[in-house]
Amino acid sequence: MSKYAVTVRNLLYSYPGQKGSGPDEPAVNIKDLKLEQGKVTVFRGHNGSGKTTFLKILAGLIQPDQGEIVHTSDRKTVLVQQEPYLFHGSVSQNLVWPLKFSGIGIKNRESLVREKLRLVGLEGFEKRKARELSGGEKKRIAIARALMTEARTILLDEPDANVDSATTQELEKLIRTLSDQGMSIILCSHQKSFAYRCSDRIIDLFQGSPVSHDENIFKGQYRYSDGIYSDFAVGNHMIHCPGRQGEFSTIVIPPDNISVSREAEKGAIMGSGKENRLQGTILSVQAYKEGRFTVTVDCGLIMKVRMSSSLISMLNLRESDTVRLLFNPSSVRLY
Amino acid sequence: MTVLGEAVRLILSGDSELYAICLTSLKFSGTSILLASLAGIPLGFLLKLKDFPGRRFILVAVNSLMALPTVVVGLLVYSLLTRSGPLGSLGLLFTPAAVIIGQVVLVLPIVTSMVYGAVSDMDPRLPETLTTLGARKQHYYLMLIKEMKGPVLAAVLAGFGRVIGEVGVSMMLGGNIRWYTRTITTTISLQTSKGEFELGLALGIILMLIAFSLNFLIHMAARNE
Repeated sequence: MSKYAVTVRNLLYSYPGQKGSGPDEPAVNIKDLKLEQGKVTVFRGHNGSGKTTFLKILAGLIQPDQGEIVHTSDRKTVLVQQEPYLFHGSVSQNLVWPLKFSGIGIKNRESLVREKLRLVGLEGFEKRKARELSGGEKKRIAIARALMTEARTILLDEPDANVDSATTQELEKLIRTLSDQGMSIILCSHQKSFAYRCSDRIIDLFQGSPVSHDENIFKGQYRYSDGIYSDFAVGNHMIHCPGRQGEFSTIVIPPDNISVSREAEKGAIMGSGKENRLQGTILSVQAYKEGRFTVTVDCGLIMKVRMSSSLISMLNLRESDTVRLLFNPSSVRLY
Repeated sequence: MTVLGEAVRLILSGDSELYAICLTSLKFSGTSILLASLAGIPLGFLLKLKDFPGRRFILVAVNSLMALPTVVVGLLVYSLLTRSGPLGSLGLLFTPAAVIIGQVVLVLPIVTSMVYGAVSDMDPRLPETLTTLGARKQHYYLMLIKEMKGPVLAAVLAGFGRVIGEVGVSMMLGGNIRWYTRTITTTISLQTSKGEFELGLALGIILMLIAFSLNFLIHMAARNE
């Protein structure tokens, strides 16, 4: 079995009303994109960036003008809308409909419903009227209903929109649980923290196309210590970060806030002692935009650093050079 | 006051002719709204959801026919069913069947148009949800109607209100024949012209009660939605 849940090639879609305006501005325009199986992929972007349209294309609700979408799993892909439509009737009836649609005669319907409700944390909601639930509960019921279809890929359209922070956390946990069970999840969001915490991979959409964002996002264990700085363990690496009370699962190290020096000049670096120092080899040096470059360094962690072209030529950085990265704990962002 | 008292007394006394008239009215209207719904509900959905040749023409026709006066429907169907007309050999004129045919013609555009309007206002998330959850043809349409039962029921009840209260079609095609095609409205019309108000008023009260109940049901159906 392929390791990709979905493969997209040369996808192009414009809204019918906008087709006359020329092919310059399609709603979605994706040359080549592979989304890993069993992972959480987050599409991020502003309103109108094509996120929802892309999800609808993946769900088969919109036919693209051209291009190819290959779903690896023959089992379906189900879309959960931003504000899901729940059928009239009870929660249990809502969950049973997908079984009836597929014509599967399942004897233990009740236990299956109970199992899915437990999974989304709404045990005992069977008899409740679906349309009288709160916004967050409706979303979770809609996810449970999607799970009843035996889909292996679930598409979530802005699950974090219009819900309170407690619900957002619940949804986050649920998404991680589903992912741990091998489900592929593709969602879109424009909340940074939700995207960072949930995702295995973030893809930014701009005018319907993926753009590189070169962020350093790592998941790991946060260890709060009583002081200005705390520690965050990413695998074997310990990153100093701001000391804030709370549960954090993700750090982001902005590539603009990392300085690079030649290993040979290590003596020249002055620091407060708590600064993060990582040593590694340059994998690539690529143009970013407006005279700036992105340098990718393998320090055990793959780090991206953004720097000016003049600095690169001054330091004479090339691939497979050994360099030292330095960044202040206060620049590390916790999510 | 004595007329009103007499009317109430008639209702309470269980006058057999009065109740026979009401029953005839309900039978005619019930049958015609049932037939009109069976055709009009699917047609309303089809007109919105499917594109087929003649769709626009049917839409325009349906909307224009909504305003058709009952006497014109009566006249049209009369000209078809009259002995010298194309369907005269069937001998349907002045029978319950004739009234029902006329009422179906009268109310089909109303049911169709109201269902079409309801489908046009349908929550766009509903068809998406059904598709993504794997609902195929018969399930898909069944669920659409089931989820929209509020506005669909409102269309049916509005149609029923129209036929139970009309007099033109019943009079022209039924002929107001006692114990046969005499309905609430034709009786009221007849009694009034004879100057005998009691029975007419009693039937009027019953008609108002029916109208009131219908409006109440429409309200409930809309609220349910």
